[in-house]
Amino acid sequence: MTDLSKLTVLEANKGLKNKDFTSEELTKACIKNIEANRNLNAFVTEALDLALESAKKSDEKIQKGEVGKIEGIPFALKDLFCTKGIRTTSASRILENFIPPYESTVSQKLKDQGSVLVGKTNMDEFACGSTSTTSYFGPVISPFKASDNDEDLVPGGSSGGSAVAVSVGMCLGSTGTDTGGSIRQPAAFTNLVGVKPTYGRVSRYGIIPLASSFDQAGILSKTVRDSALLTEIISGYDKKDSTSMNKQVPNWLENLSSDIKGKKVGIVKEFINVKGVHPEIVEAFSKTVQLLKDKGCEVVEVSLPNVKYSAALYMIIAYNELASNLARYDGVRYTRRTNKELSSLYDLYAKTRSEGFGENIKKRILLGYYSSSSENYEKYLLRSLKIRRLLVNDMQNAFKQVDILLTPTTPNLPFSVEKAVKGELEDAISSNYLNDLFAIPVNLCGLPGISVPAGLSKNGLPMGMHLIANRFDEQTMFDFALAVEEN
Amino acid sequence: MITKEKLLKLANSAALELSEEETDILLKKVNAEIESVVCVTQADVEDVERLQNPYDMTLSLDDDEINDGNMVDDVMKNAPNPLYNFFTVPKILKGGDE
Repeated sequence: MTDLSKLTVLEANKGLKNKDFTSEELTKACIKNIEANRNLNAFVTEALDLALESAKKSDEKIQKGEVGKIEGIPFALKDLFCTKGIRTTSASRILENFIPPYESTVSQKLKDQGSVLVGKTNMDEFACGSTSTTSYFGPVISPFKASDNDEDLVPGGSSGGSAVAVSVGMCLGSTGTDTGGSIRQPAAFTNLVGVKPTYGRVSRYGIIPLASSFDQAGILSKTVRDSALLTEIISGYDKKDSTSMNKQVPNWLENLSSDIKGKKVGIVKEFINVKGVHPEIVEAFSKTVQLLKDKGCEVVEVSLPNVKYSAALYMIIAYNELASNLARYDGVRYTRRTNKELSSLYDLYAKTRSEGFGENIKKRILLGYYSSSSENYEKYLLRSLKIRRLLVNDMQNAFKQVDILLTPTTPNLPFSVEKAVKGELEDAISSNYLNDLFAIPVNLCGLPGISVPAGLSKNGLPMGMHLIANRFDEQTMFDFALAVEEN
Repeated sequence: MITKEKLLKLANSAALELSEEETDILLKKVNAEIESVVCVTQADVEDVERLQNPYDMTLSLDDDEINDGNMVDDVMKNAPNPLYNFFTVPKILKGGDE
């Protein structure tokens, strides 16, 4: 019998509808993979009994013909989507026992369409990182290994657990959040499709925030078609999120077409010949450019003069928003509280926060306070908010000339977990500037972006290509992604 | 570059208590990152208006009406040591009618 966990969401939908198998059987196939791969540390909290219970309910609904769009499909949520009654930690010690009394809009929408939750996935603490090694619950390990080296590799981050869960067949799709590449980079590292929709397209209600003007929820799945369907489900206006946009959600899946003949593809001048990008990724990029030309696209060079500031803008603006968002964790209302002896109320806050946050989070908070302090506000924060406008203008100019931008998703191949944990990565990999070069401009400008698998390197590691569309033009993004995927 | 004293002052503002070892590690890391953001001081931003969110969105306002409430039990569920529906903090002052 086919291994049901290997199916795509659309294939499983069809099989369930035709009664070729049940949701219970499908869910059991995924649970088997969860149990067999606990060494990868993909989950903070498993919900296996609950999953079987939901699967049985879905089977009853399927029998009656009352089905949601993903009725009976095993699904995982990154552990920063609040789930009523199920622990939600954002991979931080400070929230290690937090059980939300409410449901995030995204998880509610998935539930309403019949998804079967198998668990909450591991991630970088408060979504800060691109390795999934900074979790209080230990690092996530990629299922991929290089053919010439046995060391454990990172799955990317911060949505690393969500990526591993889909990649190994622990579920058929998962949610992630993307503040500076946290869906697209793990997708590239695990051979998946990763979608970051336009800022404002998906409600942020009930998502534990990192940087509120950057964060956007999205989808990790095996195919472009799956991602079009799943993104459609989680999108839409939500009164509970003041930054949610009241725009109609198109039927991306139904309208999907890989006929991109005559469209214009932009290649970013500033990204050509960047030092440090892995040669096999450069080669994969050139092949993708050729593929799009062969499909009848015109390739145009565009310039984003202010893109060189992207990493710095992220560090200044996003860390400020993070420091502000994390100020709420004080050990009084809903977080873990220190057990140490205290001398003042301030002492309660300081000891609770110092025990509760990891080193990476403390660093980012300190930098947030630094760049917004009275002596640095104009020099750093205010200037950065102005440069952000210049970059948005650059992007808008680019989209006057082209329909889509193409870049690699990452400059490097998946790298060592051990080196990431010990802070011993080579400069080319640990450089913020290089790592964030392709992903971060998308978040700074609120654009939609997708990472599509672009084959394996010579030593068997996944690579991804990155397509960036204009604001609210996810259709073009999905169409191009399908064209790349079909190759 | 910032000094150790400045770092500890920032930590104090952020309600973070750092150990000696942590202070040394964080000082190096924070300074390395400050160095990598200095480039923004070179940009020409004259007459440019700040952008607060990715595209000058108009944020929606809620109607001024009650739409939920009466969820004290839910709100208190995750509080450390709640008492009579109140959040509590540990007793600091000693003496009196203990």
